[in-house]
Amino acid sequence: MRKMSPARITVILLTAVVVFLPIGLLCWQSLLDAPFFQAQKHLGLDAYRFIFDDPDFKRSFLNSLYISCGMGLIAVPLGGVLAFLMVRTDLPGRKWIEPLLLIPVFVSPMILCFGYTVAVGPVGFVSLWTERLVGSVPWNLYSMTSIVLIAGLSHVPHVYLYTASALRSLSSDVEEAARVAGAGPLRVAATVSLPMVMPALLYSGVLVFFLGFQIFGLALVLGDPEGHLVLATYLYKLTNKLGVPSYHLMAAVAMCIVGITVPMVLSQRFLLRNAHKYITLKGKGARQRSLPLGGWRWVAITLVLAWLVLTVIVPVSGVVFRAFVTNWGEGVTFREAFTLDNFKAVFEQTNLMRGVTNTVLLGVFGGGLSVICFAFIGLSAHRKDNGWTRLLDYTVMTPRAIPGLLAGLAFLWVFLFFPPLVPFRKTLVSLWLAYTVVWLAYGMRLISTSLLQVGPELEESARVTGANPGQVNRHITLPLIRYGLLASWLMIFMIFEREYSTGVYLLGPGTEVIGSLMVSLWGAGAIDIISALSFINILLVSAGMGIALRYGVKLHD
Amino acid sequence: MTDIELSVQDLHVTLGQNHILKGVSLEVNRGEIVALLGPSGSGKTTLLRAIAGLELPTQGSLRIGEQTVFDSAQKIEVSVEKRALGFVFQSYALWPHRTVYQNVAYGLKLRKIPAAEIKERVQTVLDNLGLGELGERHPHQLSGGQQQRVALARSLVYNPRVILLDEPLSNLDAKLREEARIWLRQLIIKLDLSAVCVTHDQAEAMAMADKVVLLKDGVIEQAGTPQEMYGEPQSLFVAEFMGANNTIKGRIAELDGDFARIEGEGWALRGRLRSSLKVGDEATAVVRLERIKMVPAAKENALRLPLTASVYLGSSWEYIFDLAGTSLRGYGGEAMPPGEHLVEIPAEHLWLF
Repeated sequence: MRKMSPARITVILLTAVVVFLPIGLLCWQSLLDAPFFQAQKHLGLDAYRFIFDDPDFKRSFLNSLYISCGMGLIAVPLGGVLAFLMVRTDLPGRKWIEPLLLIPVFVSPMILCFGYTVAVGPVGFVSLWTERLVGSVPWNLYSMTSIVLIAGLSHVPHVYLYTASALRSLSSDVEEAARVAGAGPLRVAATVSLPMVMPALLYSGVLVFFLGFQIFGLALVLGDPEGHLVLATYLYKLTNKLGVPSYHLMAAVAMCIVGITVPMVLSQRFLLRNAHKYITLKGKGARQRSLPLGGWRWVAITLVLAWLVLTVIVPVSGVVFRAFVTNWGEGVTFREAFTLDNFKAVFEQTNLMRGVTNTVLLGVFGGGLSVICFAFIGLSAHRKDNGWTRLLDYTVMTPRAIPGLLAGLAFLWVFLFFPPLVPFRKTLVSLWLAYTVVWLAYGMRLISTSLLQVGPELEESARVTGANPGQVNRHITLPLIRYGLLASWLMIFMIFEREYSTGVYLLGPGTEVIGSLMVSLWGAGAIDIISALSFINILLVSAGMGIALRYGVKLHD
Repeated sequence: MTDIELSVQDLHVTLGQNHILKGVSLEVNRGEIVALLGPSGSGKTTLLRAIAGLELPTQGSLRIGEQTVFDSAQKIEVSVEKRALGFVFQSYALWPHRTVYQNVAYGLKLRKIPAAEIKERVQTVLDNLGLGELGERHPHQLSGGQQQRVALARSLVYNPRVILLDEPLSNLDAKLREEARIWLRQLIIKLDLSAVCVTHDQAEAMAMADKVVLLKDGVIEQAGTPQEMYGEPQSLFVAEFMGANNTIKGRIAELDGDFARIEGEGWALRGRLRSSLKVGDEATAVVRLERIKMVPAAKENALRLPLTASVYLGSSWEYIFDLAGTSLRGYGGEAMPPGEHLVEIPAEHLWLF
């Protein structure tokens, strides 16, 4: 193997430091009995002993486990069925359904859950209509069952994306071969199609399971009224509970979450190696014929629409509705409650207004800058396979295991106590860095997808023609992936608009963003303002999706 | 002053766990076209890429002209871009985001040639290759043959002394390929270049090259002029690779100087010894299809064989005879009736391995 140039090694080492330093800090802090910046501190397991003795922690852990399992049981079969219907059958209206499926991926769970409380909460408008019709509300939004159900339904798209991409890359002639060999359609599905997408289903199952342990906004909004805690909300409420910020306890909880998610992320890596073992044909070679559903199409479309209504339309309409009324409850009509005051309030309060501007700035410019960083990181490992690139692989993968809330906390500490970074603490720089690290894995996947499409001989021919590696990057590789980079920018923009948990601990004057403002306003119960902010946030994400659809940017791989 | 433009000494290349090249030595003289021939996996493309600097050898040395570009003992490695070679990729590797003109001009731009001169030189090379009007097109707007010529123009424009071609004709259709190999040979001779060309097609290698190098499992099996390679193969592998053959298994019955008698079930033939064989050894007799002759009267090395099939090929007929269970094929000018025929296998052309 050829030696790595110093520039590449620098990029890789820098990435590793930016990712592992904050996590290392969390880990070290969890082993201390006092804040790490205090002189008086001792190594020990006191923090862990404390939280393991706390019955609230035990309950939160069990709740998280319950939610994760439930999510898997709901999201994996539904996502698989949805993928099959969308990719392999003549389901009517597939073109229109496709972008709608992705809404739960790009709209923050904070907003969706807020929408649920407005629509189907105890005094939600759907609940009130139902009560008028049948006399009572037959559901309780704040019960654990509802939380699991909503978590499961809103993670269906994650399973859908992986399974659909696996199904797309399977040529339908393997199924046709089974048909010709004498197998009926059901037998084909059971013995050929299903086993071939099994690795993808398994992979997304693990994904959903560890996302379950990372759930924060959903449990914050829906778990609060009846006091259901999960690990992330337990961490968040720890300060309130004890009255003082107890760094070592927070770090210990963080390490518990990371201890569960890291092995899962690692196991995904193993599964991914298997996920592609059946995929022999790709690109144009994979011909697809859709299966005629016949009479079943109405059953199928009803199922898909029911999911859409429950997961997308109900909460989003709830948010939109609430943004334009002063208050809502029994006996209030929309006409007399209609108002624009909620938005006026946002525009009048400087910190809220700054939050909106910051969100846009962070998405547009921060997102662009992140894509540039991701491109540098991608190029540093491009066409290399050695110890350095393996280090980078693990570095890039690690943030997937770190929930945004914890990453934000770790970065807060880094920015508070690492002298050269202190001046940036109250600027968007701190937020941007945390966002970039949290979405590193996602961004790198976007970039490497583009990079993989560049044929190696296009770069080699430039080398032979007389270009040095830097010139090859500038003249050949980067120009060839320019559309991929623009598309990545758009995706990162949407993801940055959506992000809410990473900014929670970094929230301060100058670093407000819509997402973290909503979390803090939720604590204060400022429903009017939250609904207006949610509406603005949905508009921003929709703008991104609109551009993506207009220019044919693929919203997934 | 030496005439050797390219010299490869004891080159070893390992890719991952695989030892691809196991000590290859090769010299290319000025103005010479060398074809690297071999089955897939023999290491011919790896050798070409190692010469270009795209693969890093583990051992050996490489010299281009007077300059040593790689030497494992002296720890010399000149990077790819400084070797000043031309390289035509199998897929042509034209940059899709650049026009034909920009593709060709890139090498000159990197060499900081003044703009006016670039323009002139690019136009000249495009004109020479019959691409004069296509400068503003993008690669995807060109036919396969045009793309191949653009790739060639791109690697010729900065006047490299050695040009490397990786299966340059394999993406052309059969008819075009036969024209292109003659055209390509004439172009390389006209420009007084040295060329190394990888191919898996022995006919193409013989048509294009002054010297053919046959690789097998990472070592050179035999190297020589096309005539030597076809007419004087030194091993069964070379004999079988270089042409269309009949092979007959038998046992050596008698030695007679350079010749020997080989026998099988119900037949005996005289052939030329091409490897050291003793009486009683199992041996393989090889004869080119075109050496099989029909003869009217019995003579030495003529066998009376039943005709099992004859196939009309247009320009000729192909006959298939049965020789003790193996088929013996030959060509002839006219249709032959079924039945037994006298078939001569000249001893001079029956090689025993």
